[in-house]
Amino acid sequence: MNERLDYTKISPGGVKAFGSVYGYIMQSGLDEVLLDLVYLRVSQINGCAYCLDMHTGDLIKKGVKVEKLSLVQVWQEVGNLFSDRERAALAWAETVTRVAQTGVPDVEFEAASHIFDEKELADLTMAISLMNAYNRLAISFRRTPEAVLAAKY
Amino acid sequence: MEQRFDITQLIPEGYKAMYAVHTYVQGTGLDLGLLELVRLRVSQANGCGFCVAMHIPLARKYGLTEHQINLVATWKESPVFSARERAALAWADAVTALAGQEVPDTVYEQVKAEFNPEEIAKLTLCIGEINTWNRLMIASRTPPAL
Repeated sequence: MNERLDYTKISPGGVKAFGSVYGYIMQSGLDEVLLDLVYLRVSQINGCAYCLDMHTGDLIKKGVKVEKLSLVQVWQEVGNLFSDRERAALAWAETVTRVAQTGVPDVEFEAASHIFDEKELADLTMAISLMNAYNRLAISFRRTPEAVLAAKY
Repeated sequence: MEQRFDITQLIPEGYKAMYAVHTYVQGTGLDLGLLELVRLRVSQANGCGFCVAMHIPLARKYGLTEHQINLVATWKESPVFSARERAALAWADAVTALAGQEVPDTVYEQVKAEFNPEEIAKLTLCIGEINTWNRLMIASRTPPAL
């Protein structure tokens, strides 16, 4: 699975522009662990190796236990291991990511609105939408995960 | 169909940052008509009414014909697109759908035959950008400006 092209070198201006959106979200007030869990789940759905590697690493650095991380994909089946806010964010992340199939139905919106206020939900939606763009860039060009580089294959 | 929330009001700084991505894509040197063709197609695939309503008049403004605009949804079977446009549409479809969690080599070969690496990177930034807007507008149920 060789990298097709390095868009970060070819188009640094575009990467920087998306980076400003990322920077905005980081200072939006949303909890960083919550955001990284969302980024991880979106990247799982889309199948982004580079992003899974990055956000798993970030979550470990932030103190999330590997026992919890390994169950992000099946968060609905593990009781209260994930908090109410985490569960609501993950559900919203799933429906917004799979937009072509779901159309983001009212029932999902109502559930998310029950937990998050309007601004939080707008920020969360921006974060999910941004990660969908990042995933598409990395998947399209088969960006090499850091773990692969570190293993020096 | 009531609007759920308004990102321009709630998070103007976030909206501004996203708009800067749009400004970047507009300035890449890629043909603006081609960019609109891609945005229209991706918005159809994701089901964004706001975005389809916005990008049809823009496609017209940047030189797409009525036949082309009407047939974007069925581009594979429509003889009104150039090889370059077809390659861009195939790439936009594959990058948006991520079927099987990948963008297949066959589609990459098709886009490589029509675009240089720099153009492919910029085209993909455009596809990423419109995927972001589609999700924002659908999730917030922003109504088309008609």
